[in-house]
Formats: sequence, C-alpha cells, structure tokens
Amino acid sequence: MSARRRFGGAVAADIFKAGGIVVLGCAVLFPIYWMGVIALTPTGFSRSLSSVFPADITFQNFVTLFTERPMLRWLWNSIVVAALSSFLSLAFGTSCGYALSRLKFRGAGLVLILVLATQMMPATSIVVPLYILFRDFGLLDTMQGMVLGHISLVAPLAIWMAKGFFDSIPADLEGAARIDGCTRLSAYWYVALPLAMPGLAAIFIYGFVTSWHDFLFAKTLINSQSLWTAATGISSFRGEYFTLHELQMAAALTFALPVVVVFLVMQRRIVSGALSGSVR
Amino acid sequence: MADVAFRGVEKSFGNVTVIHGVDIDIADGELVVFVGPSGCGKSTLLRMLAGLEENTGGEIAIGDDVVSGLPPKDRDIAMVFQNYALYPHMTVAENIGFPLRMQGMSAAERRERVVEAAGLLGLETYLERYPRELSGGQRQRVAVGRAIVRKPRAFLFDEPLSNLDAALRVQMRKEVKLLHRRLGATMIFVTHDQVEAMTLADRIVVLRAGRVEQIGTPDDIYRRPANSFVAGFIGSPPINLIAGTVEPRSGSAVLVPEEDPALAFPLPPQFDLAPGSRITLGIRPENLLLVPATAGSGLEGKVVFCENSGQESAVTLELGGLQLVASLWGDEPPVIGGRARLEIDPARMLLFDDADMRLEPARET
Repeated sequence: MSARRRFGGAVAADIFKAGGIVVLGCAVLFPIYWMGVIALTPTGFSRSLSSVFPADITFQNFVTLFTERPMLRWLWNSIVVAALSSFLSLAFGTSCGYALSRLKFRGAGLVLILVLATQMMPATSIVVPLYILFRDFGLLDTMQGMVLGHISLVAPLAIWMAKGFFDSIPADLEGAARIDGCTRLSAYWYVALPLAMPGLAAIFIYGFVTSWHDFLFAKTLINSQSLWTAATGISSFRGEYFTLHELQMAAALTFALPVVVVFLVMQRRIVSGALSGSVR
Repeated sequence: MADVAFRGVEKSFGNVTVIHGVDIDIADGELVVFVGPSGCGKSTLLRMLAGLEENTGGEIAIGDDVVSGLPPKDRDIAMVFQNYALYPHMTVAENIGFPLRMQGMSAAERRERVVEAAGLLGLETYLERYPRELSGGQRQRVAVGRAIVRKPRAFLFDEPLSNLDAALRVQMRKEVKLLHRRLGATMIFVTHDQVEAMTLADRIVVLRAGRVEQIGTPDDIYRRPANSFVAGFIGSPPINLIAGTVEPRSGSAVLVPEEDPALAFPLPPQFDLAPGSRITLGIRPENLLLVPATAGSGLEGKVVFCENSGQESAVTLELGGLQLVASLWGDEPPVIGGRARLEIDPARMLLFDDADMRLEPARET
C-alpha cells in the first residue's frame, strides 16, 4: 500500500471520528437547546414553532415564573433539602467509610454488604414503607422528613465511596501523624480528611444531584405547596387538559442552573494527584 | 535520649503468633539494626515500639517508662517510614514542622527549629516546595528532618533506604551514620539488607521467624555467628555450608559431605569432634583460596559460574557433587569450564553442631 493511500485512509478515519463526535454532541445538547428555545418563546406559541430557531424571543416566562408562581420558594426548598441531605450524608458517609476502612472489627464485611444491598432496592419499593414510617413519626409533609428520605437514598453509596477514598490513602500517613503527636481523631482531621477532599467533593456532588433531581420522594412525602421542591413545582405546570410548555421549560432551565453552579464550584476540588509525593 | 528495652515481647494476630518472647536491651545513644529476611518480624517489633501495633505479651520500655499500651504520641519517639509517609498537602517546612505544631509551639519558634533541621539536611532551598516536587532522596531527607526536629527519646527507621537507587542509598547510609554521630541519639534501624546492617550498626539483632537469633557487634555477627542461619544471612556472597559426618583419617578428623562422600575436608585440630557426629562446616568465600589446577595442593574442581563485579569475582567451583563459591579479588577471573583448585585454611572454618549451634574450639592452636 502506498504512503499516499495510507495518509488518505488516516484522514478519512479522522473525519469519520470527528463527524461521529459532532452527531453525538448534537444528540446530547439538542434537548437542552430546545428547552432554551421553548423557554424563550412567548406563552402559548411553542406549538406553532416552524424552525429550530425561535421567531420571537421573550423573557416574560421567567418573569411570570418568579412573580405569579412561587418558583423562588420551590428553588429555596430544593436548595435547603439538597444541601442538608448531601452535607449530612457526607458527614455520615465519611465517618462510617473511615471506620470501615481503618478499623478492623468483626462483621465489617457484612455491614458493607448490607449497606450495598440497600442500594440494590429501587426507590419505588421503599417509598411506601418510608411513607408509613414517616406518617407514624409525624414526619410526613415536613422538610425534615424530606431530608431524611434523601439521606436514605444517598448515604449508602456515600459510605462506599468514602471507604474507597480512605482505602486509597496510605495508612502510614496517619501512623506518621500519630507518632508526630496526633490522636487518632486529629490524624483523621489533619491528614486523612484533607487528602480525601477530592472524594468528599465527589460525594457531595453526587448527594446534591441525587436529592435535587428526586421527584418520587418529593411528590410522595410532601403535600403542601409551600414545601414543594422545584422538581414537584415543575410538574405542576402540566394540567389535565393542557400544559404550559413555555413556563415549564423556563422552570426546567432555572431548575438546572444551581446543579451546574454546584458542580463548577466543587469540581475544582476534584483534582487528581492529591497524594503524589506522599509515599513511594 | 533514652535506652530501650523489649522484655519477653510477643505479638499474635488471632491464633498466629509472629513474635515469640523477644528480649532486646538497647543502650542510650546506641545505633542498633534489626535485620532478617522478609516476614521475620523486624518491622512488627519497630511498629510495636512506636505504638502502631500493640504487643500481646511482655513489655516495652523507653527509659524508665513502660510504654506498652500508650498511644504513639505519648511515647516521644520519631519514625522514618520506608515509603517516606510525607503529608502531600503540606510544604516541606510544614511537613518538618508538623510535630512541633502538634506540640503547640509558636509559629516563630517552629520556623527557627525547621530552618535549623533543614540546614542539617541541606533542605534550606526546598522549604516552600511540596513533596511531589522533590526527588526520592530529598523526600527521604524531609522524612528524616521531620524526625530530628523534635529531639525525641529514640529514632526509629523502618527500611528507609530501600526505595532509593544504589548510589543514593550509599550516600544516605553515610548521612544516617553521620547524623547518629552528631546527635548521639538512640536509633533503631530496620533493614533486610545485610550490607546496610554491617555498615551502620553499633550492634545488630538478627531475627528469624519472630525470634532473635543473635545480638552482637557487626564483627561478632560476621566472625562468630551463633548458628548457620546467621552465618548464611550475613555475608555476600554467602558463606559455603557443607553438612556431613566427622570421620577419622590418618590421625586427624575430616568432614565427609553428605552430598559427595568421596570428598573429605580436613577439620581444624582444636575442636573435639567425636567420630560419626554430624556437623555443618561453614567457610566464607573470601577464605577459600583459588589456585591454578597445576598447583599441587587443594581440591580440584571445574569452574561452572563466575560473577564479576569488577573489584571482586565470585567463582563457583564444582567439586564432585558440591558447589563452593570462592571470592577472587583483583585477579582476572578464571575461564568458565576450566579447572582450578581450592585451598581451604582450616583456621578460618566455622563449625556448627547437629543442633545448628556454632562450636567453640576446645583449645588454642
């Protein structure tokens, strides 16, 4: 085969790869773009859109969302529930994960398997027992109940993730810290915790996103409109006979933004090579 | 500084006992090296002294204090780990100053002590760097700096040089020795490298399977090993060990090897050896004299292998069913496949009895 033909084949392969990436990118991004287009279309006109570009652009849907609907309240509820449940899951997960990683005790393996088993259950199968349990404890239709419900969703994986991150930190580092004057707790605080920071950021993001996106628990455990999270709020734009698509898409766009912000803030903490140079 | 004592120390993991009643006394200011093959328990002993492992029997004392059961922070010791164990999120200065920070020392005083320790180790220009920005040797120096900055009662080194390349290891070995001389501190150094043990130690503790085989000066260990294990572990190339039976020949005793009864090694006359007794003869490669095959004396054999390191050649000679290694210094190594003779000086022989203990001569020559 001549060099020219080999070169031509390589160029064709590159073009094919680039084309594939563009098609996949469009497939992923188009729904988000279309959400933006509908959100910027005047109310009631989205069904008459004739091209992929909006004919008229308006921000009235966003104004309506925050003036005529309690979107701000729903967003705030979502932020409170997601932040609290992810923070508490993080605290719980890191403590348990650290203990399971560092302390040798009988039944540790069984605990890990049981924790993992809870993740195998679909949320739909635990929502009813949870509903009955919360009803008996007076936690239905309360923010505390929502937070607890979301912790039950996030904590098991948080424990596993935290254990994995602590396993990757050489035990000698904490040994060195304990010889250098630390107690087991202060060695955890000064050495293990800062080094696990990328992992903790990942756990926080996972917890925040899981809680933020939850619809099932939010719809089942909360009745009062003032306690709705944004996920429940968005669903309220869908009526029995007609749906306010423009308002719903404006709400969806607004709903997506905080998660992006949290990810952008936290992703700087997810850096590789945090342990480089510590041990050979 | 303080002396250190292990008194009947035992360690078990479940039903498995890995340290069996170890007794070691280390004097104040002494540099003692624990040496032994992998799994002999040397690092476990050190970790028990540090408090990172609990002894399940016996007691460990530093100075007048029994420290068994105390957390590591209350033992006033410093330790350099095999893998450096530097805190990657802290700079060199923060790493070295960490023990002082834990003591609650003021930032100014801490800085002064850190600069002083860094000066001793040639790290002044690296204080603001992170461990990942340092070479292996520099990282090891930082680990040593973190140990010396707090002036502990004893320094523990857990195979600190094993991750370094050969040239750096020799340099760091010298630095540890100089540091010991300068600080006059009690140091306990763990290694599996017998050269490190021989060159560094005031005294060596040879361990095997959780038991002390011998404690002594490097010279003692090398020239007067307690048993054939110690004789075989210390020395490179390793000692030649020939097991056999004592037989009388022409008025004197000879050793007839098990592996080739046709051979006979004349034994030194100063030992009282009963005919028929089973012993092991040990002779170090440097005490075997390799002479040309044309020489009239010695045992003739075939050269089957030669390891030439430049200054020294380790020549393996096949004598019937036996293979013996002789060291040849300076001279050109013999041709592989050629013939040569070995002359053995009986005065340099080590003899071990049936119970594997070294035999002492019954009389002077």
